[in-house]
Amino acid sequence: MKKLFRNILNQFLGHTTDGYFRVPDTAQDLPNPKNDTPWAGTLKLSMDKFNKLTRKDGHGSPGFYAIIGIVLAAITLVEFLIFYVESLGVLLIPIMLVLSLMKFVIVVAFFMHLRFDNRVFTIVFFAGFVLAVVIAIILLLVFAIKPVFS
Amino acid sequence: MSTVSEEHVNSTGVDNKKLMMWIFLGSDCLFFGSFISTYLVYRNRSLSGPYPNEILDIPLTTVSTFVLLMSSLAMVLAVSYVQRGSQVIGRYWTLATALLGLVFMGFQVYEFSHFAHLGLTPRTNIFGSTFFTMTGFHGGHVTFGVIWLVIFAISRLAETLKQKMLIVGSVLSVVIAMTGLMMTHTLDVIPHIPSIVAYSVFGVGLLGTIGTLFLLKSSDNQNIESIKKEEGNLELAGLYWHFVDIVWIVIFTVVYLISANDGAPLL
Amino acid sequence: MTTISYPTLIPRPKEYVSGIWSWLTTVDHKKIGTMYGIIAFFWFLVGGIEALLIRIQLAGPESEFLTPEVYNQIFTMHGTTMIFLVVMPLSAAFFNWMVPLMIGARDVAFPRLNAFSLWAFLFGGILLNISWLTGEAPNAGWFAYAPNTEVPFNPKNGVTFWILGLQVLGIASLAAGFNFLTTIINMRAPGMSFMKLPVFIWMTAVVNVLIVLAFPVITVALIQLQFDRLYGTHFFNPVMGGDPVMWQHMFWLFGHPEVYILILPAMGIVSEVLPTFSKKPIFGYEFIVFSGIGIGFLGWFVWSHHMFTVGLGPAANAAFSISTMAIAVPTGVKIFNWIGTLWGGSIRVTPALLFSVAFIGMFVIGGLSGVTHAAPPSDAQQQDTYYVVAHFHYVLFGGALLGLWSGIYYWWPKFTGRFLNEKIGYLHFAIVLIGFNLTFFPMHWLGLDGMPRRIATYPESMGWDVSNLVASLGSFILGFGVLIFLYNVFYSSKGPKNAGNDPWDGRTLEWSIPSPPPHYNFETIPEVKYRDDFWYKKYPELANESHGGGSDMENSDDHAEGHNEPHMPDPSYYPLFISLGMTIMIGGFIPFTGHWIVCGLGLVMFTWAFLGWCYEPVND
Repeated sequence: MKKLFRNILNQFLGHTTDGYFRVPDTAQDLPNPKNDTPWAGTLKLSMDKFNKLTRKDGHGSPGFYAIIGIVLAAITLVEFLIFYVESLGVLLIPIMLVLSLMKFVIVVAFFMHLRFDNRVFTIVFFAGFVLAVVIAIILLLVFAIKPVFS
Repeated sequence: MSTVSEEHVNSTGVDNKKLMMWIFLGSDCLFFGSFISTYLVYRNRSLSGPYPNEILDIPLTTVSTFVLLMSSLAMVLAVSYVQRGSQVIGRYWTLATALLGLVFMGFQVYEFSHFAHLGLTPRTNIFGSTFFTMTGFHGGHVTFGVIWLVIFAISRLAETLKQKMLIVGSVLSVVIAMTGLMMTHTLDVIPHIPSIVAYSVFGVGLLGTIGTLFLLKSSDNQNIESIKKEEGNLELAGLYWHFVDIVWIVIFTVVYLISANDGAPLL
Repeated sequence: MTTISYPTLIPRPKEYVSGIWSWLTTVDHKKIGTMYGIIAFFWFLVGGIEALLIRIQLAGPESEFLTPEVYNQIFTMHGTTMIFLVVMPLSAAFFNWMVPLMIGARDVAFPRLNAFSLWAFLFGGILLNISWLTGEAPNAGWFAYAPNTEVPFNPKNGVTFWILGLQVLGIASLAAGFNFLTTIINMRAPGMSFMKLPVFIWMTAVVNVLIVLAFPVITVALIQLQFDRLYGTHFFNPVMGGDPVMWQHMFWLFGHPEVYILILPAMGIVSEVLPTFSKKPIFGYEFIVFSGIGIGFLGWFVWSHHMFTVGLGPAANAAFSISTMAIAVPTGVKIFNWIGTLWGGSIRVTPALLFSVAFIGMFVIGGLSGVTHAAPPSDAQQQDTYYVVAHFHYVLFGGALLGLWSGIYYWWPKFTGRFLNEKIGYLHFAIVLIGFNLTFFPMHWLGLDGMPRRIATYPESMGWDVSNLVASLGSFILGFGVLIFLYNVFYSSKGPKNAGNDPWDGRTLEWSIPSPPPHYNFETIPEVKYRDDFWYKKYPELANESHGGGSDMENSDDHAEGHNEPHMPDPSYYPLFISLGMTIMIGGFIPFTGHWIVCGLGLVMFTWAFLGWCYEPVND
């Protein structure tokens, strides 16, 4: 069970099972047999494709980064244009949050190289980030449900 | 930093300084998170004065956001080139990053003084208080980053340490002087800082230059070790710079895109 | 090899210069730990005198020993001193000393940053206490609630001193947090995985994560309060739309993780002392470790239990009440594990063990009163009464301080090579325990009887006289107990240096090296195979039993070649000067005549020291 969770986590983060920050808990690290993932390996297949697309194996080239820069600029433009669409109303907020989250993840993962680096950086950074977000949400909730004493 | 950290014992294989920078960035998330939370909690609570929906300029800020994003791109290109061995191109991209960062600061300074002319200062209302502290401290982070990057970029263009330090010192003083001038320009935003402070800041820059003259004498050798060390340091600066960028992404979204139509309290 | 050899303004001392400068420029974690301990103990005496003044004032009804204005300053400084200048630095002293020794490292990851933390702590404490000399110390309680701290109610500079002093101390703690986290993650001995770490190191790691994440919040809160007071912003000004309750949120968002920062190191110490003196491994290692992590994690979601009576509404109160009760669970798990460690063990009674056992007892009492706070209805009666004072003194003094004293008696032989006298130690323990309980136990019923906190005096008709008198007498007994400890320190300093490497037959790595350790700690960096690896090196037959076929443990290749000592980082002048410059710069924000000049001078010193630090030769 623990191994399955670890495998999924590793694949999601894009790390192979035989490297980086890892406490060895078996005498030999055997490679994963072919079809040990759920749904007969489709998860692994799509993960592999994703990893290849995002250059998991090596460093990005300047051209790669330039493309990412264009993507970021495009998202910013979309945000700007959507801002003026009145008919969206309240839907604006989740859309903006999603778009910004995309920009955030792209900068963190690629520009800051978190995608390619040791998992410890991811843990250490997202501990702080997630905590900040959760606390902000709780604080807003507390103020939102505050009763008005008349 | 000392080399005890570079001895054989390294449990994860990552560099100590890089690890510490990531921990620092995680911690800085809480710092900005507190300011942003305060801003969000205090939305729609200003009793008077210019409101966000009257004063925020979305197109202008979109441009400045774009500038900061492009500076991030320049930063990652700089690191990429340096890591590939193209030191000189890397230095120029570092300078480009700093320059774009300065342009962003220019937009911020313009926005601050423009708001002040329109009657919004930190003392005017709660929107002023929360907005200026949040973006002000972000701007402070950007400024620190610009200084770091400029020193880094210039520091390799000179062959000897002496020239490097002289250039570092004078660049530092120029940047500090510019900061001083920026401060005089935004005096009405921060009314308690008298102009004497601004000029003292310039004076500090001068003192810094003189001080650095004492700091150096002979030359150093370019070798693999020091190149690797500089690479590592540029990577650290890069991480810091990207973090400042993503904080701005959050601020831009939350303050400008989502909360742009805030106004008077709903009674 | 880079041959940078330029003369800096102050050349980096190549060798340990003797005398005071060897201490002022040291980057050795052991010396730094010792200095943390000594300075923290000095502040303990200061805070203790402040406590005795409080108790003299409260010994009888309608006393005029102190005016209410002075009384407010004294209890504010007592709390601030004890929390930020005593318990936290004493914990830091133990982190400094023990983290490298227990993980098998030669020093921390950033030795100069370590020294910086120490000096910033010293100067920050001085900045905070300089306020006494200006005639107006901070007077708004250690939690400084708005709007009491805003200018209309607090026009003088006391609160400003408090804000700026805490900023300096906060920077010191943050730097130390970054340092220790990097050290623990990155500099463990080969083979020492996370689940082989001593429990004390785990608690240190959790505490430093809390520090690194909580201190930015108080930094922001202090900035906001400072701007309100001096620059006319409206963060906590209800007239202009601000909300004083927001200060409480920001403060307690920091403040609650802060109390876990205060208690977890002591819990870690107890988790080391009990196994050694029971000759058993800690009971339920994984449970204790994950409970510690759980406490650190859950501690973020309980902060509003300090605000049950502020008017957050029933939904928020219920939510925070549930989370507060939840956090009692991992705490209880640890208690049972400690008891389980002692149970069936071969107990060796020493003062260190007695303090750890007393920790368990006193902390449980404090925890019980804490649990009664977790329910908003009962908290509504207890809030702002002496019941709360009883609660936090039981957990902070009966908990953290007794645990720290246990650590002092336990590791004193390792620090100095001498033993603290056992008989004097028993006397110290008995008197402190009696005095402590006499002082704080009556406060439980005083509080339930309605005696409010932070009152300078009380009327005779309330019937609180006897209990208060008992508490005051107890406090003097307690103070006497502290003096006995001081006497023990001086008495033992004349004793023979006969502790040897391993006086207690310990389990962890620090006992494998001489007492006091050489400045490079380990001659050979050990290679670790098991949890409590040193124990199994001493008793390999036990290793064969429990771990099945443990072979001869070999040491790693990292050892001193021949008789050459491993090279350790050179001392440096800059951490001292950079922290001095930073404190002067931050202190220069206090509004007095010419303060911007002071601020500028501080900035110059800071910049000069910063450049010096960056460009001084890094020794190879």
